[in-house]
Amino acid sequence: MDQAKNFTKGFIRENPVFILMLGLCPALGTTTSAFNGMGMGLATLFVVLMSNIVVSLIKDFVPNKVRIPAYIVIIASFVTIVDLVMAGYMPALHDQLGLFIPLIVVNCFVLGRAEAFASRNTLVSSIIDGTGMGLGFTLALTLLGASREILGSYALFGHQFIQEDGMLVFILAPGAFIALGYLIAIIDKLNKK
Amino acid sequence: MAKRESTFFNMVFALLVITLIASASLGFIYELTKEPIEAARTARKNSAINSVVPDFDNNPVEEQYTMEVAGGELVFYPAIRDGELVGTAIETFTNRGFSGEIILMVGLLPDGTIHGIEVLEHRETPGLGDKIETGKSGFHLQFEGNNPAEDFQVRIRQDGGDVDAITATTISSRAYCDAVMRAWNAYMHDDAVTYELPSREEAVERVLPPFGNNPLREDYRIQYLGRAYNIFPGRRGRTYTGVAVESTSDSGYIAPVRLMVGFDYTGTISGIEVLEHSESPNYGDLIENARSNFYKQFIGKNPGEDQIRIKEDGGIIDGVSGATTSSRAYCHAVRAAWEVFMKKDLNQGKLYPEYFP
Repeated sequence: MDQAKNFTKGFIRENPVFILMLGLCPALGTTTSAFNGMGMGLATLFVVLMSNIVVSLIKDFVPNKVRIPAYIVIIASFVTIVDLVMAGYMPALHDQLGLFIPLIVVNCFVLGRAEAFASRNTLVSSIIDGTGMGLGFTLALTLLGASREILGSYALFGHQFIQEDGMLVFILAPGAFIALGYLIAIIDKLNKK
Repeated sequence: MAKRESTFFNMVFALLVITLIASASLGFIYELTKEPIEAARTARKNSAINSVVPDFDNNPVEEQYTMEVAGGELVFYPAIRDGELVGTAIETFTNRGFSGEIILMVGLLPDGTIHGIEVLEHRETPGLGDKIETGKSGFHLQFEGNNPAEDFQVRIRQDGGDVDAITATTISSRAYCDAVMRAWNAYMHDDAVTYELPSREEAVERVLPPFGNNPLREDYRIQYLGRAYNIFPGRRGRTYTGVAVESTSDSGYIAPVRLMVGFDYTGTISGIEVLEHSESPNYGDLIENARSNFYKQFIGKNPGEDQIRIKEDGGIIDGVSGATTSSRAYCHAVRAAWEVFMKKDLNQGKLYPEYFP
Protein backbone atom coordinates (compact mmCIF):
# COMPACT_ATOMS: atom_id res chain seq x y z
CA MET A 1 0.00 0.00 0.00
CA ASP A 2 1.15 3.51 -0.73
CA GLN A 3 1.97 4.74 2.77
CA ALA A 4 2.01 8.42 1.79
CA LYS A 5 -1.52 8.13 0.51
CA ASN A 6 -2.43 6.13 3.58
CA PHE A 7 -1.20 9.03 5.68
CA THR A 8 -2.81 11.88 3.79
CA LYS A 9 -6.16 10.28 3.11
CA GLY A 10 -7.48 11.46 6.49
CA PHE A 11 -6.91 15.14 5.77
CA ILE A 12 -9.39 15.65 2.95
CA ARG A 13 -10.12 12.56 0.87
CA GLU A 14 -11.40 10.43 3.76
CA ASN A 15 -11.68 13.08 6.43
CA PRO A 16 -13.55 11.50 9.35
CA VAL A 17 -15.80 14.50 9.96
CA PHE A 18 -16.30 16.04 6.55
CA ILE A 19 -16.43 12.94 4.40
CA LEU A 20 -17.00 9.88 6.59
CA MET A 21 -19.30 11.89 8.89
CA LEU A 22 -18.08 9.96 11.91
CA GLY A 23 -17.61 11.34 15.41
CA LEU A 24 -19.99 14.22 14.86
CA CYS A 25 -21.08 14.35 18.48
CA PRO A 26 -17.77 15.72 19.81
CA ALA A 27 -17.26 17.61 16.57
CA LEU A 28 -20.39 19.62 17.21
CA GLY A 29 -20.30 19.75 20.97
CA THR A 30 -16.76 20.85 21.74
CA THR A 31 -15.96 23.19 18.89
CA THR A 32 -17.09 26.44 20.48
CA SER A 33 -13.57 27.75 19.95
CA ALA A 34 -10.56 26.78 17.88
CA PHE A 35 -8.59 25.89 20.99
CA ASN A 36 -11.27 23.57 22.33
CA GLY A 37 -11.63 21.91 18.96
CA MET A 38 -7.90 21.35 18.73
CA GLY A 39 -7.75 19.97 22.28
CA MET A 40 -10.51 17.50 21.56
CA GLY A 41 -8.91 16.59 18.25
CA LEU A 42 -5.53 15.90 19.83
CA ALA A 43 -7.10 13.83 22.60
CA THR A 44 -8.85 11.77 19.96
CA LEU A 45 -5.65 11.54 17.92
CA PHE A 46 -3.90 9.99 20.88
CA VAL A 47 -6.68 7.49 21.45
CA VAL A 48 -7.03 6.48 17.82
CA LEU A 49 -3.28 6.10 17.40
CA MET A 50 -2.81 4.02 20.55
CA SER A 51 -5.85 1.85 19.93
CA ASN A 52 -4.77 1.29 16.34
CA ILE A 53 -1.35 0.14 17.54
CA VAL A 54 -2.72 -2.24 20.15
CA VAL A 55 -5.50 -3.59 17.96
CA SER A 56 -3.14 -4.29 15.12
CA LEU A 57 -0.75 -6.06 17.51
CA ILE A 58 -3.37 -8.34 19.02
CA LYS A 59 -5.52 -8.84 15.95
CA ASP A 60 -4.55 -12.50 15.69
CA PHE A 61 -4.84 -13.17 19.37
CA VAL A 62 -8.47 -12.05 19.61
CA PRO A 63 -11.05 -14.48 18.25
CA ASN A 64 -13.39 -12.99 15.71
CA LYS A 65 -16.58 -13.26 17.77
CA VAL A 66 -15.31 -11.17 20.69
CA ARG A 67 -13.26 -8.63 18.77
CA ILE A 68 -15.67 -5.70 19.27
CA PRO A 69 -15.80 -6.00 23.10
CA ALA A 70 -12.04 -6.38 23.11
CA TYR A 71 -11.58 -3.24 21.00
CA ILE A 72 -13.99 -1.31 23.19
CA VAL A 73 -12.06 -2.25 26.33
CA ILE A 74 -8.83 -1.13 24.70
CA ILE A 75 -10.29 2.16 23.49
CA ALA A 76 -11.99 2.83 26.83
CA SER A 77 -8.70 2.28 28.64
CA PHE A 78 -6.89 4.82 26.50
CA VAL A 79 -9.72 7.31 26.86
CA THR A 80 -9.57 6.97 30.63
CA ILE A 81 -5.82 7.48 30.49
CA VAL A 82 -6.30 10.66 28.45
CA ASP A 83 -8.98 11.81 30.87
CA LEU A 84 -6.78 11.25 33.93
CA VAL A 85 -3.66 12.74 32.41
CA MET A 86 -5.54 15.77 31.15
CA ALA A 87 -7.22 16.32 34.52
CA GLY A 88 -3.85 16.15 36.19
CA TYR A 89 -1.67 18.15 33.85
CA MET A 90 -4.03 20.31 31.77
CA PRO A 91 -6.83 21.20 34.17
CA ALA A 92 -7.97 24.27 32.23
CA LEU A 93 -8.48 22.30 29.03
CA HIS A 94 -10.05 19.48 30.98
CA ASP A 95 -12.60 21.88 32.45
CA GLN A 96 -13.56 22.98 28.95
CA LEU A 97 -13.80 19.54 27.38
CA GLY A 98 -14.80 17.71 30.56
CA LEU A 99 -17.95 15.94 29.51
CA PHE A 100 -16.77 15.08 26.02
CA ILE A 101 -13.56 13.25 26.87
CA PRO A 102 -15.27 10.08 28.15
CA LEU A 103 -17.45 10.24 25.06
CA ILE A 104 -14.44 9.49 22.86
CA VAL A 105 -15.13 5.88 23.83
CA VAL A 106 -18.33 5.88 21.83
CA ASN A 107 -16.86 7.95 19.03
CA CYS A 108 -17.61 5.58 16.18
CA PHE A 109 -14.67 6.99 14.28
CA VAL A 110 -12.20 5.46 16.75
CA LEU A 111 -13.86 2.07 16.77
CA GLY A 112 -14.25 2.39 13.02
CA ARG A 113 -10.49 2.70 12.54
CA ALA A 114 -9.86 -0.26 14.81
CA GLU A 115 -12.41 -2.44 13.08
CA ALA A 116 -12.01 -1.33 9.49
CA PHE A 117 -8.27 -0.77 9.36
CA ALA A 118 -6.10 -1.83 12.28
CA SER A 119 -7.58 -5.31 12.61
CA ARG A 120 -6.69 -6.03 8.98
CA ASN A 121 -3.39 -4.27 8.45
CA THR A 122 0.17 -4.35 9.65
CA LEU A 123 1.43 -2.40 12.62
CA VAL A 124 3.22 0.20 10.50
CA SER A 125 0.20 0.84 8.29
CA SER A 126 -1.99 1.10 11.37
CA ILE A 127 0.29 3.66 12.98
CA ILE A 128 0.32 5.73 9.81
CA ASP A 129 -3.43 5.38 9.43
CA GLY A 130 -4.08 6.32 13.08
CA THR A 131 -1.84 9.36 12.88
CA GLY A 132 -3.25 10.50 9.56
CA MET A 133 -6.88 10.02 10.50
CA GLY A 134 -6.30 11.53 13.95
CA LEU A 135 -4.67 14.58 12.39
CA GLY A 136 -7.54 14.80 9.92
CA PHE A 137 -10.00 14.74 12.80
CA THR A 138 -7.97 17.37 14.66
CA LEU A 139 -7.83 19.50 11.52
CA ALA A 140 -11.58 19.23 11.03
CA LEU A 141 -12.36 20.12 14.63
CA THR A 142 -9.90 23.00 14.67
CA LEU A 143 -11.33 24.31 11.41
CA LEU A 144 -14.87 24.02 12.69
CA GLY A 145 -13.92 25.55 16.03
CA ALA A 146 -12.04 28.38 14.33
CA SER A 147 -14.88 29.27 12.00
CA ARG A 148 -17.37 29.22 14.85
CA GLU A 149 -15.09 31.31 17.05
CA ILE A 150 -14.37 33.82 14.27
CA LEU A 151 -18.05 34.30 13.50
CA GLY A 152 -19.39 33.84 16.99
CA SER A 153 -16.97 35.86 19.11
CA TYR A 154 -14.88 37.73 16.50
CA ALA A 155 -11.81 36.00 17.89
CA LEU A 156 -9.33 33.30 16.97
CA PHE A 157 -7.57 31.16 19.59
CA GLY A 158 -8.86 33.61 22.18
CA HIS A 159 -7.49 36.74 20.50
CA GLN A 160 -10.34 39.07 19.80
CA PHE A 161 -9.91 41.09 16.62
CA ILE A 162 -13.16 43.06 16.75
CA GLN A 163 -14.11 44.39 20.16
CA GLU A 164 -17.75 43.52 19.88
CA ASP A 165 -20.14 40.69 20.55
CA GLY A 166 -20.08 38.25 17.66
CA MET A 167 -22.92 36.43 15.96
CA LEU A 168 -23.95 34.39 18.92
CA VAL A 169 -25.76 31.74 16.98
CA PHE A 170 -22.44 30.29 15.86
CA ILE A 171 -21.36 29.66 19.43
CA LEU A 172 -24.65 27.97 20.21
CA ALA A 173 -25.66 24.50 19.05
CA PRO A 174 -27.51 25.54 15.87
CA GLY A 175 -24.41 27.41 14.72
CA ALA A 176 -22.42 24.18 14.94
CA PHE A 177 -24.70 22.53 12.41
CA ILE A 178 -24.72 25.59 10.15
CA ALA A 179 -20.94 25.92 10.20
CA LEU A 180 -20.43 22.18 9.71
CA GLY A 181 -22.86 22.22 6.77
CA TYR A 182 -20.95 24.95 4.99
CA LEU A 183 -17.60 23.34 5.71
CA ILE A 184 -18.82 20.00 4.33
CA ALA A 185 -20.00 21.78 1.19
CA ILE A 186 -16.64 23.50 0.73
CA ILE A 187 -14.66 20.28 1.29
CA ASP A 188 -16.94 18.43 -1.08
CA LYS A 189 -16.30 21.04 -3.75
CA LEU A 190 -12.53 20.75 -3.19
CA ASN A 191 -12.73 16.98 -3.36
CA LYS A 192 -14.57 16.93 -6.67
CA LYS A 193 -12.02 19.09 -8.42
CA MET B 1 0.43 -16.46 13.76
CA ALA B 2 -2.89 -17.64 12.46
CA LYS B 3 -6.10 -16.16 13.69
CA ARG B 4 -7.40 -18.02 16.71
CA GLU B 5 -10.62 -19.95 16.42
CA SER B 6 -13.68 -18.58 18.20
CA THR B 7 -13.87 -21.43 20.66
CA PHE B 8 -15.29 -20.77 24.09
CA PHE B 9 -11.93 -21.10 25.76
CA ASN B 10 -10.18 -18.84 23.29
CA MET B 11 -12.81 -16.13 23.67
CA VAL B 12 -12.78 -16.17 27.47
CA PHE B 13 -9.03 -16.32 27.57
CA ALA B 14 -8.56 -13.42 25.13
CA LEU B 15 -11.02 -11.15 26.94
CA LEU B 16 -9.59 -12.07 30.31
CA VAL B 17 -6.08 -11.18 29.25
CA ILE B 18 -7.15 -7.92 27.63
CA THR B 19 -9.27 -6.77 30.58
CA LEU B 20 -6.54 -7.74 33.03
CA ILE B 21 -3.92 -5.74 31.19
CA ALA B 22 -6.33 -2.84 30.74
CA SER B 23 -7.26 -2.69 34.42
CA ALA B 24 -3.66 -3.04 35.54
CA SER B 25 -2.50 -0.19 33.33
CA LEU B 26 -5.44 1.97 34.39
CA GLY B 27 -4.65 1.37 38.03
CA PHE B 28 -1.07 2.35 37.37
CA ILE B 29 -2.04 5.57 35.55
CA TYR B 30 -4.55 6.38 38.26
CA GLU B 31 -1.89 6.15 40.93
CA LEU B 32 0.41 8.23 38.77
CA THR B 33 -2.05 11.04 38.16
CA LYS B 34 -3.74 11.03 41.54
CA GLU B 35 -1.49 13.66 43.02
CA PRO B 36 -1.40 16.03 40.05
CA ILE B 37 -5.19 15.87 39.80
CA GLU B 38 -5.54 16.66 43.47
CA ALA B 39 -2.97 19.42 43.12
CA ALA B 40 -4.75 20.89 40.11
CA ARG B 41 -8.01 20.88 42.01
CA THR B 42 -6.43 22.57 45.00
CA ALA B 43 -4.63 25.06 42.79
CA ARG B 44 -7.87 26.07 41.12
CA LYS B 45 -9.56 26.43 44.47
CA ASN B 46 -6.60 28.34 45.87
CA SER B 47 -6.46 30.76 42.99
CA ALA B 48 -10.18 31.41 43.38
CA ILE B 49 -9.74 31.92 47.12
CA ASN B 50 -6.76 34.18 46.50
CA SER B 51 -8.69 36.43 44.22
CA VAL B 52 -11.75 36.84 46.43
CA VAL B 53 -10.29 37.58 49.85
CA PRO B 54 -7.62 40.02 51.06
CA ASP B 55 -4.02 38.81 51.47
CA PHE B 56 -3.65 36.05 54.01
CA ASP B 57 -0.83 33.97 55.42
CA ASN B 58 -2.57 30.77 56.43
CA ASN B 59 -3.76 27.84 54.34
CA PRO B 60 -7.52 28.36 53.97
CA VAL B 61 -8.04 24.97 52.31
CA GLU B 62 -6.58 23.23 55.32
CA GLU B 63 -8.79 25.18 57.69
CA GLN B 64 -11.97 24.76 55.70
CA TYR B 65 -15.25 23.90 57.34
CA THR B 66 -18.63 23.12 55.90
CA MET B 67 -22.16 24.09 56.67
CA GLU B 68 -25.37 22.38 55.71
CA VAL B 69 -27.89 24.64 54.04
CA ALA B 70 -31.15 23.94 52.26
CA GLY B 71 -30.30 22.03 49.10
CA GLY B 72 -26.66 21.33 49.76
CA GLU B 73 -23.52 22.21 51.58
CA LEU B 74 -21.38 25.34 51.65
CA VAL B 75 -17.63 25.20 52.18
CA PHE B 76 -15.98 28.02 54.09
CA TYR B 77 -12.29 28.86 53.71
CA PRO B 78 -11.18 31.31 56.40
CA ALA B 79 -8.36 33.66 55.36
CA ILE B 80 -6.22 34.68 58.29
CA ARG B 81 -3.36 37.14 58.37
CA ASP B 82 -1.20 37.69 61.43
CA GLY B 83 -3.65 35.64 63.41
CA GLU B 84 -6.61 37.74 62.42
CA LEU B 85 -9.53 36.78 60.24
CA VAL B 86 -9.31 39.05 57.19
CA GLY B 87 -12.02 37.40 55.14
CA THR B 88 -13.79 34.17 54.33
CA ALA B 89 -14.08 32.56 50.92
CA ILE B 90 -17.29 30.59 50.59
CA GLU B 91 -17.91 27.97 47.96
CA THR B 92 -21.57 28.41 47.20
CA PHE B 93 -24.03 27.15 44.62
CA THR B 94 -27.35 27.75 42.98
CA ASN B 95 -29.58 25.43 41.02
CA ARG B 96 -31.36 28.28 39.30
CA GLY B 97 -28.93 28.58 36.43
CA PHE B 98 -30.12 28.35 32.86
CA SER B 99 -28.44 24.96 32.46
CA GLY B 100 -28.22 23.65 35.95
CA GLU B 101 -25.89 24.25 38.80
CA ILE B 102 -23.57 27.25 39.11
CA ILE B 103 -20.78 27.12 41.68
CA LEU B 104 -19.23 30.36 42.88
CA MET B 105 -16.47 31.31 45.25
CA VAL B 106 -17.64 34.36 47.18
CA GLY B 107 -15.19 36.26 49.36
CA LEU B 108 -16.65 38.10 52.32
CA LEU B 109 -14.89 40.39 54.74
CA PRO B 110 -15.58 39.71 58.42
CA ASP B 111 -18.39 42.29 58.45
CA GLY B 112 -20.11 40.68 55.46
CA THR B 113 -18.88 43.09 52.78
CA ILE B 114 -18.44 41.29 49.46
CA HIS B 115 -14.78 41.46 48.56
CA GLY B 116 -14.66 39.37 45.39
CA ILE B 117 -16.49 36.68 43.46
CA GLU B 118 -15.19 33.99 41.12
CA VAL B 119 -17.14 31.45 39.10
CA LEU B 120 -15.88 27.93 39.73
CA GLU B 121 -18.26 25.94 37.60
CA HIS B 122 -21.22 26.57 35.37
CA ARG B 123 -22.86 25.28 32.24
CA GLU B 124 -24.48 28.51 31.11
CA THR B 125 -24.80 29.29 27.43
CA PRO B 126 -21.45 30.17 25.86
CA GLY B 127 -21.51 33.78 24.70
CA LEU B 128 -24.47 34.69 26.88
CA GLY B 129 -24.67 33.20 30.34
CA ASP B 130 -20.95 32.58 30.53
CA LYS B 131 -20.44 36.32 30.89
CA ILE B 132 -20.95 35.77 34.60
CA GLU B 133 -17.34 34.56 34.53
CA THR B 134 -14.73 36.96 35.77
CA GLY B 135 -12.80 38.13 32.74
CA LYS B 136 -15.68 37.79 30.33
CA SER B 137 -17.53 40.79 31.70
CA GLY B 138 -17.45 43.21 34.58
CA PHE B 139 -20.63 41.77 36.03
CA HIS B 140 -18.99 40.69 39.27
CA LEU B 141 -17.51 44.15 39.84
CA GLN B 142 -20.78 45.68 40.91
CA PHE B 143 -20.86 43.37 43.92
CA GLU B 144 -17.41 44.13 45.19
CA GLY B 145 -17.10 46.45 48.15
CA ASN B 146 -20.80 46.31 48.85
CA ASN B 147 -22.42 44.90 51.92
CA PRO B 148 -25.86 43.35 51.57
CA ALA B 149 -26.48 44.36 55.18
CA GLU B 150 -26.23 47.98 54.17
CA ASP B 151 -27.94 49.57 51.23
CA PHE B 152 -27.15 46.96 48.61
CA GLN B 153 -29.91 44.59 47.55
CA VAL B 154 -28.37 41.57 45.89
CA ARG B 155 -31.17 41.14 43.37
CA ILE B 156 -31.29 42.17 39.76
CA ARG B 157 -33.10 45.43 39.01
CA GLN B 158 -36.02 43.59 37.43
CA ASP B 159 -36.56 42.00 40.84
CA GLY B 160 -36.20 45.29 42.67
CA GLY B 161 -32.55 44.98 43.59
CA ASP B 162 -29.37 46.94 42.90
CA VAL B 163 -27.67 44.56 40.45
CA ASP B 164 -27.62 45.29 36.73
CA ALA B 165 -28.27 42.00 34.99
CA ILE B 166 -26.17 41.04 31.97
CA THR B 167 -28.06 41.82 28.78
CA ALA B 168 -30.07 38.81 27.58
CA THR B 169 -28.87 36.85 30.57
CA THR B 170 -31.52 37.53 33.15
CA ILE B 171 -31.75 33.97 34.37
CA SER B 172 -28.02 33.48 34.84
CA SER B 173 -27.72 36.87 36.54
CA ARG B 174 -30.58 36.03 38.85
CA ALA B 175 -29.00 32.66 39.68
CA TYR B 176 -25.69 34.37 40.40
CA CYS B 177 -27.35 36.69 42.92
CA ASP B 178 -29.05 33.69 44.44
CA ALA B 179 -25.73 31.92 44.98
CA VAL B 180 -24.13 35.05 46.43
CA MET B 181 -26.97 35.55 48.88
CA ARG B 182 -26.89 31.90 49.89
CA ALA B 183 -23.29 32.34 50.93
CA TRP B 184 -23.92 35.67 52.60
CA ASN B 185 -26.95 34.49 54.55
CA ALA B 186 -25.16 31.41 55.76
CA TYR B 187 -22.18 33.48 56.80
CA MET B 188 -24.17 36.12 58.64
CA HIS B 189 -26.50 33.77 60.47
CA ASP B 190 -23.99 31.24 61.31
CA ASP B 191 -23.43 30.24 64.88
CA ALA B 192 -21.25 27.36 63.89
CA VAL B 193 -18.37 29.71 63.10
CA THR B 194 -16.62 30.17 66.38
CA TYR B 195 -13.06 31.14 66.82
CA GLU B 196 -11.73 29.88 70.02
CA LEU B 197 -11.31 32.70 72.48
CA PRO B 198 -7.96 32.79 74.22
CA SER B 199 -7.60 31.29 77.65
CA ARG B 200 -6.62 33.53 80.52
CA GLU B 201 -3.00 32.40 80.20
CA GLU B 202 -2.84 33.13 76.49
CA ALA B 203 -4.57 36.47 76.92
CA VAL B 204 -2.18 37.62 79.62
CA GLU B 205 0.77 36.66 77.49
CA ARG B 206 -0.56 38.53 74.49
CA VAL B 207 -1.65 41.77 76.13
CA LEU B 208 1.29 42.47 78.43
CA PRO B 209 4.43 44.30 77.29
CA PRO B 210 7.46 41.96 77.27
CA PHE B 211 7.93 40.32 80.65
CA GLY B 212 10.09 37.63 82.21
CA ASN B 213 8.09 36.41 85.16
CA ASN B 214 4.97 34.29 85.41
CA PRO B 215 2.18 36.86 85.88
CA LEU B 216 -0.37 34.14 86.55
CA ARG B 217 1.52 33.07 89.66
CA GLU B 218 1.67 36.60 90.99
CA ASP B 219 -1.95 37.46 90.42
CA TYR B 220 -4.06 39.13 93.04
CA ARG B 221 -7.50 40.60 93.32
CA ILE B 222 -8.69 44.13 93.82
CA GLN B 223 -12.11 45.25 94.90
CA TYR B 224 -13.35 48.27 93.02
CA LEU B 225 -16.89 49.62 93.06
CA GLY B 226 -18.23 46.37 94.40
CA ARG B 227 -16.51 44.17 91.86
CA ALA B 228 -13.43 42.02 92.08
CA TYR B 229 -10.72 42.42 89.46
CA ASN B 230 -7.96 39.93 88.77
CA ILE B 231 -4.60 41.57 88.28
CA PHE B 232 -1.60 39.97 86.59
CA PRO B 233 1.59 41.98 86.94
CA GLY B 234 4.36 41.51 84.41
CA ARG B 235 7.94 42.31 85.34
CA ARG B 236 11.49 41.83 84.28
CA GLY B 237 13.66 41.13 87.25
CA ARG B 238 12.37 43.50 89.91
CA THR B 239 11.11 46.08 87.42
CA TYR B 240 7.45 46.00 86.57
CA THR B 241 6.86 46.33 82.84
CA GLY B 242 3.11 46.23 82.76
CA VAL B 243 -0.08 44.92 84.22
CA ALA B 244 -2.95 42.89 82.80
CA VAL B 245 -6.37 43.56 84.27
CA GLU B 246 -9.26 41.21 83.82
CA SER B 247 -12.27 43.44 83.50
CA THR B 248 -15.94 42.84 82.92
CA SER B 249 -18.71 45.07 81.65
CA ASP B 250 -22.29 44.18 82.36
CA SER B 251 -23.61 46.31 79.55
CA GLY B 252 -23.06 43.79 76.74
CA TYR B 253 -25.88 43.25 74.30
CA ILE B 254 -26.76 39.85 75.64
CA ALA B 255 -24.47 39.01 78.53
CA PRO B 256 -21.42 40.52 80.22
CA VAL B 257 -18.30 41.12 78.14
CA ARG B 258 -15.10 40.01 79.82
CA LEU B 259 -11.77 41.39 78.61
CA MET B 260 -8.12 41.10 79.47
CA VAL B 261 -6.58 44.56 79.14
CA GLY B 262 -2.85 45.08 79.29
CA PHE B 263 -1.20 48.37 80.29
CA ASP B 264 2.38 49.41 80.29
CA TYR B 265 3.71 51.35 83.26
CA THR B 266 2.41 54.70 81.94
CA GLY B 267 -1.14 53.45 81.71
CA THR B 268 -1.02 53.14 77.93
CA ILE B 269 -2.94 50.17 76.57
CA SER B 270 -0.55 47.52 75.31
CA GLY B 271 -3.11 44.92 74.27
CA ILE B 272 -6.65 43.65 74.67
CA GLU B 273 -8.15 40.21 74.33
CA VAL B 274 -11.79 39.20 74.67
CA LEU B 275 -12.10 36.39 77.17
CA GLU B 276 -15.82 35.86 77.12
CA HIS B 277 -18.92 37.29 75.48
CA SER B 278 -22.25 36.23 74.05
CA GLU B 279 -22.68 38.99 71.49
CA SER B 280 -24.59 38.31 68.26
CA PRO B 281 -22.77 36.31 65.60
CA ASN B 282 -21.23 38.45 62.90
CA TYR B 283 -22.25 41.70 64.52
CA GLY B 284 -21.34 41.96 68.18
CA ASP B 285 -18.79 39.19 67.99
CA LEU B 286 -16.66 41.36 65.73
CA ILE B 287 -15.17 42.72 68.92
CA GLU B 288 -13.12 39.50 68.97
CA ASN B 289 -9.56 40.08 67.87
CA ALA B 290 -9.77 37.22 65.40
CA ARG B 291 -12.74 38.76 63.64
CA SER B 292 -11.94 42.43 63.21
CA ASN B 293 -9.43 45.16 63.84
CA PHE B 294 -11.64 46.79 66.41
CA TYR B 295 -9.17 46.17 69.24
CA LYS B 296 -6.34 47.82 67.35
CA GLN B 297 -7.88 51.23 67.88
CA PHE B 298 -7.19 50.92 71.58
CA ILE B 299 -3.56 49.96 71.43
CA GLY B 300 -1.23 52.81 72.29
CA LYS B 301 -4.05 54.90 73.73
CA ASN B 302 -3.99 56.11 77.30
CA PRO B 303 -7.46 56.30 78.84
CA GLY B 304 -6.16 59.13 81.02
CA GLU B 305 -5.67 61.30 77.92
CA ASP B 306 -7.89 59.73 75.28
CA GLN B 307 -11.62 59.39 75.47
CA ILE B 308 -12.10 55.65 75.33
CA ARG B 309 -15.68 55.85 74.17
CA ILE B 310 -17.29 55.23 70.83
CA LYS B 311 -17.73 58.27 68.60
CA GLU B 312 -21.48 58.34 69.20
CA ASP B 313 -20.69 58.98 72.86
CA GLY B 314 -18.13 61.67 72.06
CA GLY B 315 -15.05 59.43 72.17
CA ILE B 316 -12.39 58.44 69.67
CA ILE B 317 -13.33 54.81 69.00
CA ASP B 318 -15.13 53.72 65.84
CA GLY B 319 -17.78 51.30 67.04
CA VAL B 320 -18.23 48.00 65.23
CA SER B 321 -20.93 48.77 62.68
CA GLY B 322 -24.20 47.21 63.63
CA ALA B 323 -22.93 46.51 67.12
CA THR B 324 -22.98 49.81 69.00
CA THR B 325 -24.01 48.21 72.27
CA SER B 326 -21.23 45.66 72.16
CA SER B 327 -18.67 48.33 71.26
CA ARG B 328 -19.90 50.49 74.12
CA ALA B 329 -19.60 47.61 76.59
CA TYR B 330 -16.09 46.91 75.33
CA CYS B 331 -15.04 50.54 75.93
CA HIS B 332 -16.68 50.41 79.32
CA ALA B 333 -14.68 47.37 80.34
CA VAL B 334 -11.46 49.00 79.10
CA ARG B 335 -12.12 52.15 81.11
CA ALA B 336 -12.93 50.11 84.22
CA ALA B 337 -9.65 48.23 83.82
CA TRP B 338 -7.76 51.48 83.58
CA GLU B 339 -9.45 52.92 86.62
CA VAL B 340 -8.47 49.84 88.57
CA PHE B 341 -4.94 50.23 87.31
CA MET B 342 -4.82 53.86 88.41
CA LYS B 343 -6.62 53.60 91.74
CA LYS B 344 -3.92 54.13 94.26
CA ASP B 345 -5.85 53.80 97.44
CA LEU B 346 -7.69 50.61 96.68
CA ASN B 347 -5.00 48.06 96.32
CA GLN B 348 -2.99 47.87 99.46
CA GLY B 349 -0.12 49.67 97.88
CA LYS B 350 0.64 46.88 95.50
CA LEU B 351 -0.29 48.25 92.16
CA TYR B 352 0.87 51.79 91.67
CA PRO B 353 2.22 53.38 88.58
CA GLU B 354 5.00 54.58 90.89
CA TYR B 355 6.16 51.04 91.20
CA PHE B 356 7.33 51.18 87.65
CA PRO B 357 10.73 52.51 86.67
